[in-house]
Amino acid sequence: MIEILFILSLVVVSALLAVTSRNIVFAVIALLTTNISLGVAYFMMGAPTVALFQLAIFAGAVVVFFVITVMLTTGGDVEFDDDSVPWINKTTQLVLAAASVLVLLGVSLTREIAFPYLEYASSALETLMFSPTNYDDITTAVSQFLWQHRGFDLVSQSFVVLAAVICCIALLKIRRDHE
Amino acid sequence: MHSLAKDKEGPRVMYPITFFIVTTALLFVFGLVALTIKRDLVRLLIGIEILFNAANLFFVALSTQHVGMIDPLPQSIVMMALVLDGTVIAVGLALALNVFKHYKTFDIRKLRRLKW
Repeated sequence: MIEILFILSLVVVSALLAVTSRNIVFAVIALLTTNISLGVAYFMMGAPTVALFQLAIFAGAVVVFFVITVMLTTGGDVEFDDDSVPWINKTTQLVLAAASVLVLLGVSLTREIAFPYLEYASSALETLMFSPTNYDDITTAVSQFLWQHRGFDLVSQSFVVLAAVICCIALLKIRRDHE
Repeated sequence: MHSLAKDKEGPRVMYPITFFIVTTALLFVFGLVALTIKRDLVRLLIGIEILFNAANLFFVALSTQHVGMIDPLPQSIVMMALVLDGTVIAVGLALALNVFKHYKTFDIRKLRRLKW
């Protein structure tokens, strides 16, 4: 129990640092810590495939994208010196406070009413649950489930990723043309 | 008690959902604050990624609330969401690079030429 508390507190603290750090490089490093900690948390919770994707994509590729962007642009400059607070008007502060209160209220309500964990989808899902004996079983079952029940989603997703790649190429090509 | 040293045995302990709910709420608020008060495009993308992480963590946490039982549906959906989140961030960073090329800054208040 202590391990997951430690990992989750590390997630929260590093996310806070990623948001509040003035140096963008430190912010990206804090984001990397957040993603790695979340990957470890997924693994401890019994989701090894999700942990693998989290480490490979979020802690790997996305952080590399952030580092490359920072290297090609500001390169570790601190945040804009002129204050970032006055441009937040009263309405924004009010909306932010209201959203935070709503989130915390939703959290407390979720805990109080004992959220029916298995009923977020159909009742047929319960038959798909299984009892694993080791992490290999989980990985195999999730892969089988993905291909058997979510095959169309996977194919559609590949087109979305292809569209994103084309979009990135087009954006960066425009940049080169201007040079 | 489950620990990383006992990986071969598989997960046996159900962690209390309260831990994950509090963590998710805090991550959500951090991401929301970053999206609201920051002006740097890269920091806005960092806030978006923290929001993604909050949603994924809550989804996986809800699926692991039965001792010794695994629900593969949320895990597969979160896997697909992770890939799509990565593409969203990649396209956002490509846009940010283009913005920096044109405006020499990441300050979203300076992007006036987008107005019509």
